[in-house]
Amino acid sequence: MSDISIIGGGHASGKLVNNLHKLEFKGNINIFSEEEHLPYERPPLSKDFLYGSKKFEDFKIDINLEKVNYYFSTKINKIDFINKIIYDQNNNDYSYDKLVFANGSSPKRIFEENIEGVNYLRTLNDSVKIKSSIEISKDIILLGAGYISLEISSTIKKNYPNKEVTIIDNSEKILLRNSNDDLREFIFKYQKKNNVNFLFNTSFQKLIRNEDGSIKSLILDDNKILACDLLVVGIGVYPNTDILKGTMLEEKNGIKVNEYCETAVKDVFALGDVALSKNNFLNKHIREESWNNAEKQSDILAKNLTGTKTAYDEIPWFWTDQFDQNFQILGEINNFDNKILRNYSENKNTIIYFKNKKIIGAVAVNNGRDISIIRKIIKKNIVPNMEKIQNKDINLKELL
Amino acid sequence: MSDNENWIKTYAVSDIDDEDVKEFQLPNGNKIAVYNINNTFYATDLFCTHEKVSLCEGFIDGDSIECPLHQGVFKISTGEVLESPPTEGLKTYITKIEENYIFVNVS
Ligand SMILES: Cc1cc2nc3c(=O)[nH]c(=O)nc-3n(C[C@H](O)[C@H](O)[C@H](O)COP(=O)(O)OP(=O)(O)OC[C@H]3O[C@@H](n4cnc5c(N)ncnc54)[C@H](O)[C@@H]3O)c2cc1C
Ligand code: FES
Repeated sequence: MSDISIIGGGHASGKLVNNLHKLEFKGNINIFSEEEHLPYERPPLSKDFLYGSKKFEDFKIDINLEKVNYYFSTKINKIDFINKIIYDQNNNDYSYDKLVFANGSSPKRIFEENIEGVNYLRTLNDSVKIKSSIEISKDIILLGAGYISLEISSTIKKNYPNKEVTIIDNSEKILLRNSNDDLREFIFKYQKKNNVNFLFNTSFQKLIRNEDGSIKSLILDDNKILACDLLVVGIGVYPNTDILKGTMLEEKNGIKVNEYCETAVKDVFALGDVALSKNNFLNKHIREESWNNAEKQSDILAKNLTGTKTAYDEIPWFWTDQFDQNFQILGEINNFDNKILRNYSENKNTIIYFKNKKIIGAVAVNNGRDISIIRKIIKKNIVPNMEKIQNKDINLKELL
Repeated sequence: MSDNENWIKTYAVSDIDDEDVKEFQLPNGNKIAVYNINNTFYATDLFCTHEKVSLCEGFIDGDSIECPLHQGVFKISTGEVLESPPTEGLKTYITKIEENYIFVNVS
């Protein structure tokens, strides 16, 4: 049986290993991870772990280390697809039979180099560092109004309502990507209610430091000075494809794979945040950057690597938890021709989006049950009865 | 505790529709979920093992309950995890029907 070598030790990698073991894969598994920790799920890093109500043990992915060769703190720097060899940061070489890219994505940076006091949140270590800084900071600035910043602001305000938290974005609204105006309105309402400050259409031009080198304030584009003792930047992520430069698999927006997680190169696979995957529901290639994508692709790839050819057929789904509210996005929520709001109460809503009379997506606030049902309706290709959908007293389950 | 004291009277059979679930508070303060699946009654802990969210807000599909928060799935009859994110199973309770009431064993 061929051996499998995996680059990356994050969510997708950890789950892939466990799924391979469940399917009784008998070959060797080699995992090369830049991090010094076991794989873990990342959502708690901006939520419960940052808040202090979850420990690493609660979200780490347990792997039986006796059954794998785990190379901790090992970054793969170079790949030779022709001779099937990978090289780490110390130029050690490892040959492979089958190679899996599970090396995720990285936060986009505002400065090329690492600058003291400019924080990003991607890893456990980042979260630990930001958590301890929050405790001693008064004026916190989050650059970028994406999901990460909105979750951090929620976590800080829940713990420390009196700390000043300001989110700055150079566009005119929150969540420019992976969102729509309905969701923005819901989320913005909770952020404002909890006294998070927002500054739109601006960015900063300069950092002012104290004598000890720590950040004191930011000078914004309009020359306004904003006090700041903690800066976290969350302006999006990019796929970790730099190691492919100059190879036959060079890709810009992720490593292109089909619905079986296969790349264009034989015996080479990719999944999770780094993969630009064929999504059958949307009929295009997308990079999903979600927990669900990492989780479900690891299941699919394990099957494919053990001989059961299985296609990925998930409808894109993402959740974010902020201020004890759960927001979920399913499917396509932008290119619709009709929408219906099911307003159950002030804090419980579902908006369903249609195209050509069929449901294509939904946004739900504190109503995961509707999302579960709508996912089934879409998968079963049901043309729903509009009268029933419009009547919130009718359980959506009746449409199944 | 005598065996009799271990059996806690919860809802009347007619209180819970088929494929529905209701929350119930035990005398010790713990909350459970009582389910009617095809006129067989089951009971599990109320909260998902992933985070403290009531499974009564979840979606029942046959013999499984899907958590409303992150769509973890548990088998209602055994409590086992069928789909992540939860990794720990749900505690289940034995039930019996007497005089049209659902009793739950808390021993
Ligand atoms: C703070 C935070 C909160 C999130 N919250 C949510 C949420 O609420 N809901 C949701 O759906 N999704 C959420 N996500 C997204 C989700 O966590 C990711 O989509 C998921 O982690 C992707 O898994 P992955 O295995 O592809 O990548 P990762 O988990 O990032 O793992 C990649 C691993 O590869 C390693 N690596 C990279 N390059 C190399 C190399 N050359 N050699 C060796 N190792 C390498 C990295 O160090 C990393 O350990 C969140 C992400 C973050 C950061
Ligand atoms: S709280 Fe139930 S799956 Fe997360």
